[in-house]
Amino acid sequence: MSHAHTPSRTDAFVAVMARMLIRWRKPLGLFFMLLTLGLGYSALNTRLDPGFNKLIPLKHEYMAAFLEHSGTFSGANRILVSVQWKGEGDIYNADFLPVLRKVNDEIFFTPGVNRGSVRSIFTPNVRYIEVTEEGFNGDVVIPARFEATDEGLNQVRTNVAKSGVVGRLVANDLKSALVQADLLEVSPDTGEKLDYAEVARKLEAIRTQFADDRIDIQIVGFAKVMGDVMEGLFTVVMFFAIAFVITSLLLWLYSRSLKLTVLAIAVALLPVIWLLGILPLIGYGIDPMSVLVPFLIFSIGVSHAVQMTNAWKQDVLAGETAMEAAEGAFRKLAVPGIMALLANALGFLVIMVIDIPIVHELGLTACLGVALMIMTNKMFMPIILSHLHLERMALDQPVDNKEKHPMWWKVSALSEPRPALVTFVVMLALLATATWYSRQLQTGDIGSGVPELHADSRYNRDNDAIISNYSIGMDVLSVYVETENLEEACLNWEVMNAVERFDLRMRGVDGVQSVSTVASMAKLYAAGNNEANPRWAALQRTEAALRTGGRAANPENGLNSHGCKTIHLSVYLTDHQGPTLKHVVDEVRKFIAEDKTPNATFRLAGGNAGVAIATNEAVEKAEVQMLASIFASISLLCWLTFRSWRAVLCVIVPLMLVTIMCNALMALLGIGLKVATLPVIALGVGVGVDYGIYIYERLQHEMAERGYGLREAFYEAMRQRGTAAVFTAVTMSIGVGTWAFSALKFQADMGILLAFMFLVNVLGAIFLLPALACWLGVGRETPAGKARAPATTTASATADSHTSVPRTAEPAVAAQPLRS
Amino acid sequence: MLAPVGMAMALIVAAASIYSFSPRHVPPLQETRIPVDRMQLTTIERSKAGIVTAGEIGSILVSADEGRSWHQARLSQDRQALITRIVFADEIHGLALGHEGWILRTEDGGLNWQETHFTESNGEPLMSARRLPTGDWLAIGAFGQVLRSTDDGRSWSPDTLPDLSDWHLNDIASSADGRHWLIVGEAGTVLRSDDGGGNWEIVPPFYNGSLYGAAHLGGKRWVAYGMRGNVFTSADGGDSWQAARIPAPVSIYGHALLPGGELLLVGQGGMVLSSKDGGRHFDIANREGRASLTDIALARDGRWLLSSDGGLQVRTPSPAPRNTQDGATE
Repeated sequence: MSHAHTPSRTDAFVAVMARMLIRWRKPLGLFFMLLTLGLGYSALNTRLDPGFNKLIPLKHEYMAAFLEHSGTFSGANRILVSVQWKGEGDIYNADFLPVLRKVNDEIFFTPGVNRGSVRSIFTPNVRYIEVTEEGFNGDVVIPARFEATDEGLNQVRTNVAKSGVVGRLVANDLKSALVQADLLEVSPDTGEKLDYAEVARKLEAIRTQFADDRIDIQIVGFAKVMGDVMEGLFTVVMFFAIAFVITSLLLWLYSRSLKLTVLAIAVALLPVIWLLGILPLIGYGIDPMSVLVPFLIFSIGVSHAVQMTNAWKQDVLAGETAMEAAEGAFRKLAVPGIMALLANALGFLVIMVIDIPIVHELGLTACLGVALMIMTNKMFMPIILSHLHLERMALDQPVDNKEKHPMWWKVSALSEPRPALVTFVVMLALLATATWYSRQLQTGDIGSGVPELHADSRYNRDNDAIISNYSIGMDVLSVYVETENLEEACLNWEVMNAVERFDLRMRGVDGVQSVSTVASMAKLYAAGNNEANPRWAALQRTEAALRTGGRAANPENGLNSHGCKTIHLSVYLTDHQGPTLKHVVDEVRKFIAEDKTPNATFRLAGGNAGVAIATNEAVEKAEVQMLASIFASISLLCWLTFRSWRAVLCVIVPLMLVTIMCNALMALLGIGLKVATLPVIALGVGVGVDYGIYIYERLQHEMAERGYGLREAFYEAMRQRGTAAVFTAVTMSIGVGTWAFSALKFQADMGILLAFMFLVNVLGAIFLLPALACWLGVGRETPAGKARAPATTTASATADSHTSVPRTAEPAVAAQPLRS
Repeated sequence: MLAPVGMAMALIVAAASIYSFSPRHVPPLQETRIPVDRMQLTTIERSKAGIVTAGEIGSILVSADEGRSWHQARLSQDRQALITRIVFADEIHGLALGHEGWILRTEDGGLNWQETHFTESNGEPLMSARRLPTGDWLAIGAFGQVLRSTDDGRSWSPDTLPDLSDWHLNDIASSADGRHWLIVGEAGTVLRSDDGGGNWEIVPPFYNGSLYGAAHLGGKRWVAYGMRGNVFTSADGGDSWQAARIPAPVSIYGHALLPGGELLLVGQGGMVLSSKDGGRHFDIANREGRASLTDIALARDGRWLLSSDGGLQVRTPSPAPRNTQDGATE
């Protein structure tokens, strides 16, 4: 059995590495400095890269249909500007209509707007039709020679009523009117891609210009969301600054040394700079999600830097030279540090099972950052430390390893059987509560409005206002009908009838607000051709008769492509919450499975609801996979580090508990399981395992090297690493906790959950780990095992840890109530 | 040995996490139903089976509880054609008329329907039918179509009426005793029979638009209604016609005659009009939404069940005044 030899072989290897590092510290240090300069320069080229397609699970079957057809049906990229009259009466007055006309003109001339698609009661494409005994009679809604007299206003009022746009372009309560326009993804003049930020700014300018105490303006649309999200991104920089200041302050309070503070911060910043430098080189950018990686890397960097400076300081205070202490710190921390960082990297790696590009990039970027951190933290840091001299203030600190740290000594009692049982009782209570709540977790977005932004953000309030004032929905599930072998599918009764059946069936599905298809439109036109008689609103069998409603199949309506090669069925949903999406999509699937029509294939799914359901399915599929892989790989890592199944359990069980608690917290806070929150669990576990590894490593080391009993060993572990662990947990939680104030909802959700994971994981490692160690019999392995340990000579004397006398019999220690 | 307790704890946590992360229950939504409040309905009648309504893609729905819940009637053939009207000759015998010359027949008040006529190609919509005192059924429809059945609706053959052009025929109506008959249609077409449907003659046109229906109010009083608020009354059995005063210029698609003699007309713009003076004056009894109301039936508790192109609507007739000028408040 190599059990007893492996650690020493590893130790020997680490010791050699430590010596080499210190020997070549000058050339290595110079190399790192130059690297930092180079990458720092490259970091200046980091660009923002927010793509719509990055948010889509591209490999999902629904998305194949979506990507194929979303270009044809551009309705997704529509902006709606609602002008609301807050004064007395309805919109037909001399003050309101001129403002609406001006807003209409402003939008018409906004760059990126497809001018032909602009619709409002002022545009010529909106007409009223009147059926008279003699036939049709129609004109634009607002006459060319419109005057805002009572007569003129009345004329407009009746024209609008006849035009059938109430509910669509004019609010149901006649208190507001819409201007709608589609945006062109690529400018036909210049060939340039649409600048969403520019469109959003222009729309905001329209709002500022026309909104006053009598007129309110509401704006919705993808372009506005993108604009608001990008604006929100810049606030993140502010959070970074706040986190930076707080961390520095805490670091200084903790170390009482300006030098160590600056060093820890600088070393933690290094991987961030390197990472930002490498990203442009490998063709990556920063998006709303991966913008969080620098925070994480910085926080993790601080945590490891604190462990390193702490170990170094303890040795320096014990009287070693800076160089010896640096070598010692490397020796002590190389294994747990690198293991912990590898665990972090694993956490980032496994989130890549979520099949969504933006998450892939997040995982990759974060992994890269952690890899860089191994270099900066474990190599560059000792080199700097070896050159460092502590200031007096830090040196004057009481040398705390001479006496018992009273708090940690008390805490270490938890490693004794009875207090440990109390810990278990508390744990079981927490576990039961958390498990119960965690079952209420929902997949997908919770609440209304766009999920990127807070429910009470200006955008979502506008969205609510428009939904409640007009009969239009914002949550659309698109189903595509692909036709083949037909010249004009919309003149083929079988195909159109299938669409009609779909339309009727979906109207009866719970969660569906309304359905819009070319079939229902054709029926409306057919009735229109017959004096609007509803008894004629039908699709007739013959092609000639179908042609009467054929005007409905104009591709400009966005209901079908040319020749109806593709028919676009829009199912408007009441909301985009997980259960609604799942139910409606299941019903669509049932219809598709039961109802077969020659030459027509129904395919799911597009629209924002289609993207959301595909995303939910991808997230749900990834969840178990991700958790299984993170826990399996971390267990393996722990086993490789400690070569003990007890150690694995001691480290993993608290993590599991915290993971369940995190799910419970999400359910309680109304945060859904989604693209932004699923990675949090993996990240939280990957980072949270650090504490367990650092503490258990010391515990094992103290027991093996010095033959301590469990309580003394745990006390030693806490004394040497506990303070640093708590400190880092607090700083990291604050670092990510600042995101909670982000204008972007998903960042806020991530921040809250990560802060929770970081903070509670350290508590798990401090309180639950010793109890588990105690009741799993750590330190009570077979005597043979102990005999094989390197430090048997001293260990034999302290085989029974409960009665052992503390190592240093200081008065403070003697006062501690010891069990016997 | 301490280890078993520790192991047990670890196992409990492991079990809890497996349970916690096992597929989560999604709160179920309601089962998919017949969207009776969101579908095209063209007709609503009462029979022994309850209330029967029909319309979009040949759906016939029956309610045994005064319109609260609905179930699909059984049809011998599913033709996916719009049903335009259901008529009952008595409590149990009735016909459903539809597009593509579709006729269905029921003998149980509308629970089961047998197809008795369908035009496979180039079919045109049928709009209405009635059983004449002779027992013959007469069905009428688009482009002046007339069909006759001499075996209580089981088989059909084309028929003609004198002086008929190819204008659409929209409805056929009779007096309660079955002696006086009226067929109304497009371009002011009106045919009259005063011998139980044996002989028909054209009434000289008094209107150039479409008439969608007619109602006999007893004696010699007729009301014929049509597009854009055009309602006409005749006090002399159809010899002369006068335009009635209508407060809203909406097309009228259906009517109901209440036991007390009140006539209700329903039509575009969710409009229900009421006349208590034999059709001379109409008031707005109720107006709601933008759907085109196609027919009206009365539930036993007095509620109005309205079929429309936007689904079934249920309204409670308000005792409030029915004058447009006054609005809802007196």
